[in-house]
Amino acid sequence: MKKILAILSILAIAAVLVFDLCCRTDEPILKKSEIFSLANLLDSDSEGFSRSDGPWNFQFPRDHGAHSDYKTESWYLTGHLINKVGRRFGFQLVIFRLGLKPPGTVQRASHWNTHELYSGHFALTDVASKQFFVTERYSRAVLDLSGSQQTPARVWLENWEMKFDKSKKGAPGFSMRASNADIRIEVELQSLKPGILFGANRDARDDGTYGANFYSYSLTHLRSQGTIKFGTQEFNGKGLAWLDRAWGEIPLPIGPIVWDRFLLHLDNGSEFMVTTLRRRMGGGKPRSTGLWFKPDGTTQHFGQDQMAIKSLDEWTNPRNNIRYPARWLLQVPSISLNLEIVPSISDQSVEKSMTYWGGLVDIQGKFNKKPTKGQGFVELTGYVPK
Amino acid sequence: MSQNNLYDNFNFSNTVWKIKDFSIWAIIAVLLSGCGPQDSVIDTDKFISPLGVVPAEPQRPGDAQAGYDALLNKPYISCGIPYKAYKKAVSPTSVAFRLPDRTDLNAELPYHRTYYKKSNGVELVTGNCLTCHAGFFNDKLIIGLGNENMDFTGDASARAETIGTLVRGYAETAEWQKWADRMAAVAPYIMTETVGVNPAIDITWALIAHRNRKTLEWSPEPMMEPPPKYVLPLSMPPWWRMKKKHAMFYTTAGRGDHARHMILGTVLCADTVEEAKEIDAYAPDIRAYISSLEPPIYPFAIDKNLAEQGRPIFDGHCAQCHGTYGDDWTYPNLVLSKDVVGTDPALAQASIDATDQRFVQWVGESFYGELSRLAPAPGYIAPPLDGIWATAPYLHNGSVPTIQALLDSSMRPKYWTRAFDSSDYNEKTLGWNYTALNFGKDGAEDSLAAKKIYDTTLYGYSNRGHVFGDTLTKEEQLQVLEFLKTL
Repeated sequence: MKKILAILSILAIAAVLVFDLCCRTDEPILKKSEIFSLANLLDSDSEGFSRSDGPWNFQFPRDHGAHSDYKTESWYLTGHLINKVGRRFGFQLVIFRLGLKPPGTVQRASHWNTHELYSGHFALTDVASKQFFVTERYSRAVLDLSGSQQTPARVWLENWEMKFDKSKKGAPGFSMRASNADIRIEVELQSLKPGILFGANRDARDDGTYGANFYSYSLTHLRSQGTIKFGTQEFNGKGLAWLDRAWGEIPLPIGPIVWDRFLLHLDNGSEFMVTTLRRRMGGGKPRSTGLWFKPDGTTQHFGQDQMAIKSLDEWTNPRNNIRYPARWLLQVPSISLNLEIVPSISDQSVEKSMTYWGGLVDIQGKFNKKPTKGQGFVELTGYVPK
Repeated sequence: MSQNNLYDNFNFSNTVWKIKDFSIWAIIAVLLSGCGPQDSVIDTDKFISPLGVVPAEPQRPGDAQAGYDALLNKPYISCGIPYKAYKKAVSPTSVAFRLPDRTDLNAELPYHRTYYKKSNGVELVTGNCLTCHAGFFNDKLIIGLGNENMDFTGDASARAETIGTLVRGYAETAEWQKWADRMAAVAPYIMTETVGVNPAIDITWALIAHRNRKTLEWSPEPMMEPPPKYVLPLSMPPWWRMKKKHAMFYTTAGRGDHARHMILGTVLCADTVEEAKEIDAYAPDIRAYISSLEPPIYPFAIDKNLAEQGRPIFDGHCAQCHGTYGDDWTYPNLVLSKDVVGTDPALAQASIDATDQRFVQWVGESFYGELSRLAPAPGYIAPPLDGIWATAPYLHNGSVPTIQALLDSSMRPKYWTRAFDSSDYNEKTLGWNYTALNFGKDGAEDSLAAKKIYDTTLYGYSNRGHVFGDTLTKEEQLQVLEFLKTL
């Protein structure tokens, strides 16, 4: 395994080197390749890296920055902006940090030598024109190409970045910017709810091990205000966003599991996070779990038996023949929640190092007998061509 | 589950059934319930044992040392989590959960996990017997002590399915799927009402329902009606009792060859008689090891004078059923009617009802019944009391938190909760520190607190019966309690 990792690392570094030497544009240089697989790199052996072996003492802004002792890490920002005349955009900026060498490894004396890579993708959904743009990047964490710093907490991948320097009265605030050849986005975000932490109070299980081998937190209610430039066109909008952070052994959707995740913002100040898992080959019992982030900042969990999510429609990606669910009904009877979730545009398929559907959705329905609506982000992973 | 459903499922009745009546009832019930293709009319006389003295039966000889090694290292549970996925899912095992005399990769795993490299090259981490049959007392791991802290209140298959996110490749996926399928099959039938009690019988029955009794082949769909979804709770008895016992299990159902019974857990993964036979070949060694186990020594101070005062009281009031102790120990192996002992009757009742008897019959007609036979008596064995102080909570359903409350039934809490911390022990009451509550699960702060509440009003969870200590004076109860520390 170490050998494979080493080969992959060399290939990755070589690829980045070619990129750095030839040019620096906003176009992705690394095309999808069987050899260079982000998934495989993220999934490789974590020998020598720290493991999540106890409760984590979360501290901010420190934890917005990188945790380089842990092998993998992610900053996963999704949201939407609506301008004054109702034009809507969805945006995603996803950055992965991938440790290539465990802490303490002797470094080669070279400016190009790196112990970690950053990769990421930026996507924009333009609902009006029914277009979806995705750009992917990789870069080594040297020479300021990519990296993370503590003060102020900041993560960047070339000129894409999240900078956690806008906190007010303890509430996290930050800015993001990203671009490709034609599009540029800058958003300021302010968290209006306490974050939810996973791993702060982790108890030892009865077998002396722990249930999950990563730490994470989510900021589910980020008030967003930003600008999107399309060539010469400029749109100013407001909306909501959601940040998921994780470090450790982050589970990757590349096993025998189909994994759907729903991050839903309702206009009454509630958010819902719903996850469903099922075996790709069938069998077993599909699992679903839900978390309600209430307007007052408290949360409520819904188990398998308390909720139902049904797929009502399908969409087949014409480029790779993968069939995805395309419209859903979410029901939580105990709180009289009935939501219909519809992709804002059908084709929001990300086909880069990892292939999945991830995009903006519109929500309509009833919550506690009152009409409600909202926007959200849905991620459909583990699907393969039929 | 509503009370109505519960009563429907369990034929709950105060009527004292006679065995003959049961035979008729069982046959009618089976006919009415619509038997599966494998079912046949049950001859309950064959599968029910009489009350009274349990006779000794010949046991296959074994090598205790080899048995200890097999117990910790052999893949008698042959399906599990792919090793690579396991390593991603968990953190390194803390020292307290490792056994120092294990070797290779097993040395890095928790005591109740076993590394197994299959012939197809797939590496697995499987469960082993110590999952339920080892426990902590005062922060020290004791092999053979029943694990009274397990949590079966949730969906046991949830974690198995989730681990799928960490599985890679076709061969490992197939192995994970096999294991996860079994977990999914049993999960609906093994959910207990409270943390700390065990659904061992229902796990076995739910698995058996999926197997061909002749070939042991696994069927994705049940081949007979699975057990009821309401679980009758069990406290895990300590293994060292097997030195004295002629039959296994609370109802003395485990007659004949004990080693064959002990490998009944292999119904989780063993899909052929050949595999079961391979495991059975070393099962007598494991039995020899279990029968060689001694109870732990009481780790706190004992008032020797008080204990000596307790001995004659014990001999006068308790020894008739529980035996005498010391170098010349005796043990009568006495199974008493559930009505005489008076403890919660549900388990003994169910074991002779048609609901359980169809599984008992399956065992009888399978490889597992070739040397042994399941034949419960309509009552409960009075167990040997060696190391009894370490085995709280008490009675077969773990409904009484202390010996003090066992000896004085007026002190038994109706609703109670505990810390599930092996160092939270009370030397005065000889049991777990507990908080008596004036409310059941409905009054709990949240679902986590609710599942830690033992509600003795629930079906099968009653703390009634075994009121023999009530005839003793307070002083005598204290003397007996002190004497029990010496066992």
